[in-house]
Amino acid sequence: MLRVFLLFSLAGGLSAAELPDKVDFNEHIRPILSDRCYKCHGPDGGEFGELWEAGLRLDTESGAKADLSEVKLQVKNAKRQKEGKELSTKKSKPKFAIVPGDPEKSSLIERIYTDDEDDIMPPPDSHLKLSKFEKDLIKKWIEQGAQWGKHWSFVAPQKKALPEVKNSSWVKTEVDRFTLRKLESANLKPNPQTTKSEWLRRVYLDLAGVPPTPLEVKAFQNDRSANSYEKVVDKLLGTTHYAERMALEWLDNARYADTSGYQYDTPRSMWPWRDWVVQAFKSNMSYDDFITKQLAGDLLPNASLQDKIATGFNRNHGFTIEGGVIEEEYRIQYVNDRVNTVGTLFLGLTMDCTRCHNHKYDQLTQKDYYSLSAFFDKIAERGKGPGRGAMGIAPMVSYDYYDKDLVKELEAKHAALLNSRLEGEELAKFEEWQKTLSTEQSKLHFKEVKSTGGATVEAVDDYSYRFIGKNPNQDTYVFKADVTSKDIRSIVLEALPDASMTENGPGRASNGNAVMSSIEVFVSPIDQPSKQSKLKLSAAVADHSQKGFPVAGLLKKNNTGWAINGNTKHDKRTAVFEIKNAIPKNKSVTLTVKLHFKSPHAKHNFGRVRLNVSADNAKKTFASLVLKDKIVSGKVGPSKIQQFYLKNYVKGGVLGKQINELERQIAEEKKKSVSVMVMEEKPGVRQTHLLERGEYDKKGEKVSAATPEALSSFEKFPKNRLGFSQWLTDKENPLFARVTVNRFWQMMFGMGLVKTTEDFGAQGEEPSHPQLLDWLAVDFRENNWDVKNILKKIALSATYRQSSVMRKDVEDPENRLFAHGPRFRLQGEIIRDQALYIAGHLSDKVGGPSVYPYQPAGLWMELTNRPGFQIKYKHSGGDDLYRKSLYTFWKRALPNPSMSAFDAPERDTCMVKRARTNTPLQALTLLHDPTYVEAARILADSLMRSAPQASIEQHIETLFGKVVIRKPSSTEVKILREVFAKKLAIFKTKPDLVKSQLSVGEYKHKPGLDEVKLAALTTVCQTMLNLSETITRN
Amino acid sequence: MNKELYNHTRRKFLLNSGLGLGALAAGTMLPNKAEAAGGVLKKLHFKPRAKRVIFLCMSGGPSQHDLFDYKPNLEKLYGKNLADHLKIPRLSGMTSGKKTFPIAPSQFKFKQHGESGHWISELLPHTAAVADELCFVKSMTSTHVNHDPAVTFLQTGHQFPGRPSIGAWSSYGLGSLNKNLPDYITLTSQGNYKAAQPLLSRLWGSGFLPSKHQGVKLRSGENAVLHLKDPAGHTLKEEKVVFDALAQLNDHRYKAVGDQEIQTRIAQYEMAYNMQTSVPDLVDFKDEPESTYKLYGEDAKQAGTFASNCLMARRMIERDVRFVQLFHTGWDHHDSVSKHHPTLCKETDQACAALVTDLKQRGLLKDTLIVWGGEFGRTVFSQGGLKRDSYGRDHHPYNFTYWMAGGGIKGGTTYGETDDFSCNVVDKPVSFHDLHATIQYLMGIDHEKLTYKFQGRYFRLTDVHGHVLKDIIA
Repeated sequence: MLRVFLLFSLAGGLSAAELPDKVDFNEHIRPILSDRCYKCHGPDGGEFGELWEAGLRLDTESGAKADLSEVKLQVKNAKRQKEGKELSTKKSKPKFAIVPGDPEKSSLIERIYTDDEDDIMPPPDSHLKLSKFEKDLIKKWIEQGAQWGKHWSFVAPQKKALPEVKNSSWVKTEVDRFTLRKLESANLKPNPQTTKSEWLRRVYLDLAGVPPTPLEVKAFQNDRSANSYEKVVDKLLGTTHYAERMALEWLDNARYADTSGYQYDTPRSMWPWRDWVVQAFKSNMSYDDFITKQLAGDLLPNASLQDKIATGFNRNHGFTIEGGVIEEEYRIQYVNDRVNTVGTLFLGLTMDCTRCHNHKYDQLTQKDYYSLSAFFDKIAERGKGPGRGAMGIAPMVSYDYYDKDLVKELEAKHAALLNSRLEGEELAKFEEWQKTLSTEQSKLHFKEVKSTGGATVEAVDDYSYRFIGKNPNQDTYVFKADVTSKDIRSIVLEALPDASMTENGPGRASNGNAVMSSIEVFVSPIDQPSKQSKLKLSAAVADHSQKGFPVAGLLKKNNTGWAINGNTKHDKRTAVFEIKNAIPKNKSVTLTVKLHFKSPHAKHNFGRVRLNVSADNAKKTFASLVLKDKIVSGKVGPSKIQQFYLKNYVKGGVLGKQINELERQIAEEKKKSVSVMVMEEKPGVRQTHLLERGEYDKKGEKVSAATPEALSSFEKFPKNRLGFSQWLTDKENPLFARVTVNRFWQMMFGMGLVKTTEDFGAQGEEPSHPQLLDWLAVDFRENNWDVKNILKKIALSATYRQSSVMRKDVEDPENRLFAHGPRFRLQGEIIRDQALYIAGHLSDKVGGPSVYPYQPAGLWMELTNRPGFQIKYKHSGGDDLYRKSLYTFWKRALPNPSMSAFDAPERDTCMVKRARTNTPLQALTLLHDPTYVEAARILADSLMRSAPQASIEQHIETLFGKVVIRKPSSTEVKILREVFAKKLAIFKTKPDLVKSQLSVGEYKHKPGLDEVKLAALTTVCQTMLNLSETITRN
Repeated sequence: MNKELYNHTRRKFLLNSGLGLGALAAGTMLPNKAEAAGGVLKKLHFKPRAKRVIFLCMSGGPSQHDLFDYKPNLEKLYGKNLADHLKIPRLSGMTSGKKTFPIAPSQFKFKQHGESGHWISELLPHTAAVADELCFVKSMTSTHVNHDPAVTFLQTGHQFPGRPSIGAWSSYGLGSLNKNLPDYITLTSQGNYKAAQPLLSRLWGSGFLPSKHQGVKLRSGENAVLHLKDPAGHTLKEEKVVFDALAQLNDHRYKAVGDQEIQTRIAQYEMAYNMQTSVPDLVDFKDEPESTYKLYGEDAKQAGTFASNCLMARRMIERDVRFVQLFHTGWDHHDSVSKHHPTLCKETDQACAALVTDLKQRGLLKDTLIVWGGEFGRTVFSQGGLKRDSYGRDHHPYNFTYWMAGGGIKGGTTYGETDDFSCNVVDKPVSFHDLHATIQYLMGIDHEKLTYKFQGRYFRLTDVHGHVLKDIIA
């Protein structure tokens, strides 16, 4: 009888079975009340309790056992009071839903057993029903005294004594006492221990995300020491594979992605946060630190950059950049996302249900929701992201990931080259260049220079032009010259002093000043002067601008003009103007420059002008002019001159190329810097309100940061995110440790002890082994939140070591008794990583910007053809094509389809449990995605190279050892040998097919192998990679 | 292990059928075309009127003013400030700063069509020709003024990401009508309007439902389903060597470990194999006579166009694909409705009408529902400057027009009414929840009963809303 009942409670089945001797409220009654009654009789009573039908609430003991007439009167009066009406004293006769020990007097019993459609509970229009068994359970519970209990997960876990078991020799770690106890009470024996190799593959895939190599298998099999299993686990937990495998879980939990979601789904750069996670697991950071840093790293004393990056956890949600949205609505949505994530991930509570009203099933209020949100909205953030191109919404930190040592080294080399001693031809060139500095010249040979205002133009032998005679109020100087376009990036204008002007000018006004109102630059084909196009200018610099008359103003429409204080400063003035878009290279064109003097200041024209062009941008041109002047006036030492020369004027030659290459490398390396969104507390940035019906603009009462009231006390903690994380990891907290160890268990067994990983509330499922869950939770905390320690206890347990062969004697389809070892399909990332790893082709590079593995062409472009937002997917090259799937660029609007086919989520919201479907698209992916076809080829290649003389049978045996870590049966060898033979026959007659089979993917195999055989063996390897066993951990 | 189940697998069939495979793939349906096959509903709630659905989503928001909701009296109010006539509702941030709202009557001519006398714009001559088959719902409403929340709401019943799309619910509830093609297929096309709103895979995603219920996006080209073809170029017969070996090896393993999941895997590989015939057969139009292109237009010859997708939709319906979702992007004409709407109409009008006509002549319209519409309508006032022949319109969710046809819909009818400005609903407002409830009703589903428990709550497509529009059902 016991066994039957046990199975009922485990499977959650509702089939008729015998009632338990003792009905337990938490185990048997609350789930029924919650699921069938709380919608109307649950925690959400509205403002006064008016939502409690008939005055009955069944989520609290006092409510369930209250005099309903009294409750109804109170509700009525609360309402009347609000409306300012007189209170009523009219009370109907007492009525009780539940009278402990007396089902006859309990109106609840009457209402659930009746056949009357008008009376029956739950009512027909709710589409909810109670089975006969459930009704009988409730009745028996009332008979037995209707004992109440607080919902199990709202009471802090206790470590109780380990259960006694009969077969204690089976026990390997504490875990086993709990599972065995349950098996024994169901009169069941555990499954036999699995083979060493199968356990090894299992533990590798679970903890490292890759299978063991044949060498590792052999070493383990030969290790007869008592702690051989433990040694394996210890070794695994020290690998980077382990850290990456743990991060893989966490990225789903923390909704990590490389794009920002919503409609435009623009790229972002949160990967430094992802790398932080990997490093945290690698260093076995204690789990409370791991959480604290992510929740409140910025609030830690002396927070490091890495601590701040950790807080990116709360910024991993998407954001919109859509024009026309109401920012506040979206900002609220981001804050809500944080609350929901924290609720699901750390508390196992469906907080989102309390966004618009009190929770229908759990003792959580709407106020709890917004009090929680008050932890997460104290940052100065906007609701709408900046347009495309921006990587996030502030606050952000900048993260440089370039190799600082490398840059230092390159810069030293660069400096050494600049200071190297020039000899021979190099020296001669340098000296030649130096000579040009002291002579004035222009590259321009003007075919026309004129003043439209009627001044007389005189050419001077230093390439300048003098404007004398008539000095009109306004004037325009026009210069025309034929040039080769490659010389033109900037226009150099020098206004020179001249004896023709007052105190040498350089302006023609009576005080020596000048105001140039604009400059225009045109080009036209030499033979078609009428086809003139105007060039836009993008920068202007000058050695001096009069206050209020800046040279840069000339780039704008309305400006004051460029003036030069010519009344007091009678020196030469130099200005450089940069052309925005370079003219097509090496074209000969006619260049026309017009200098306008059309300001309100009459006669403020230049008196002597020299124009030149430069192939450099304005800044560089200007710097070279300044230096030139300094050199001419002897103000700069020879080493500076050489440095400047080498840096700016030497392009070719051995030395020039070396210098350029170094500069390119330094610039390239220094580009490696990204912005990471973080949390940055700004107290007082806003008052948090409860939002009526969850609507962003319906502000209700003010709330301050607090944790849900029904959970452990928050009193002693600081009222910020740091305090929140301390509260989470406090020993009084009933949920955090349980929810966490449950996810670890889920990772190792495919299903949590609490099946509803995301919901530990009344609507969630009861734990299959409540005491085990609590023991693990407390043990985890007591051992300083040591993740490796807890995983080790699970991995070494006899429970985990059982064979996964299904049993005929146990009817437990979900294996909630753990009567056999866990077996389930691997997640998509691990399937891919495994294939690459087996082929020996998985890159071991850790971290860095996300990468782009194979993906069918055109997918991203099909989503949008909007100019500016379309991004073409280009798969990575080199090693980055074969990185762990953890590092794949995650586009929310369209995650890598080969991952989606295996249930990878879009990462729009926190996910703590992936589905595991089984579909034809998975078959097509494994058969035809170039990832797998290529991996099969590389695998075949390595088989043939490492054993050139091997028979196909031997190859098959090696393959089995590598892929599924066991020896093949004779049937299996026979089937695969046939594949090989048939394929060989096909390939022999089709050389083109051989070629195409061997050219799928970027990998180029080395010549020297029998290609027909290689192609056939490739298809054998493909078959192996497609086996159900290969993608399942047994 | 379960002996019976083992014997029941199609493994033997695959192994023994030899030449039979091609024939099987060409169009074998489940032997019994059960209304609910493999879905969570063991029995339908109602007699289904629509076994299949085609949803023609006009992404971006077509203008009801210029297509269906004729307001001749606006002519007199040309250029007048709308704010003088009624209260301006919440606008998108693009026009909320405007001081005046100049009324922009449609520049296009309207005429009555068919026996039912629908007023339809000159932009849609083909749609006008099938007016008597259509039911126009003029009183559609939404609550979202921006694309992302609005289209997410339309597709999933909720403005924020995370919920299953309407097609995913149908897959979950009803399962598949055939075993050689996915039960929920999406096709997308992009119009000639370049500033089109992007699409996201979540619009046909499965949300919290298992991912096998998500829409499979069919592409043009030989890999219409991703990775359909062997990249090395083996013929199907040559590749069968691997398929057969996999079936044998997996079955061999199943006998050793007894995991039922392995049998499912074997069946999935069989379907993958079949799809390599059934999908090319679906997407290859070579069996279409020239008359088809007369009906759908020459565009239909060009893969990836909306017209071609409509033709593809008909071919899917013939093959009993349950839910076909088309998206055509580019209806978002803030700057010039007058210039761009004619383009979009030209791209879609003929093919939409052809679909109605074609399904009818094949006897498939009676149990196939067609739904046409976007995520919202457009404002009566001009967003930028207003000229007689040049005006733009901003987003307008307070009323817009949908049409439905076939699958239990009363053709030649109109439902709901809007005010003189086509700015608000004055009679029988219809929300997307109502639309969803109605679509599910027509498919035989009680929208209140098809639920999925997630995070402790029973979710449904219509959340806690939705009324079936019984008046438009024949």
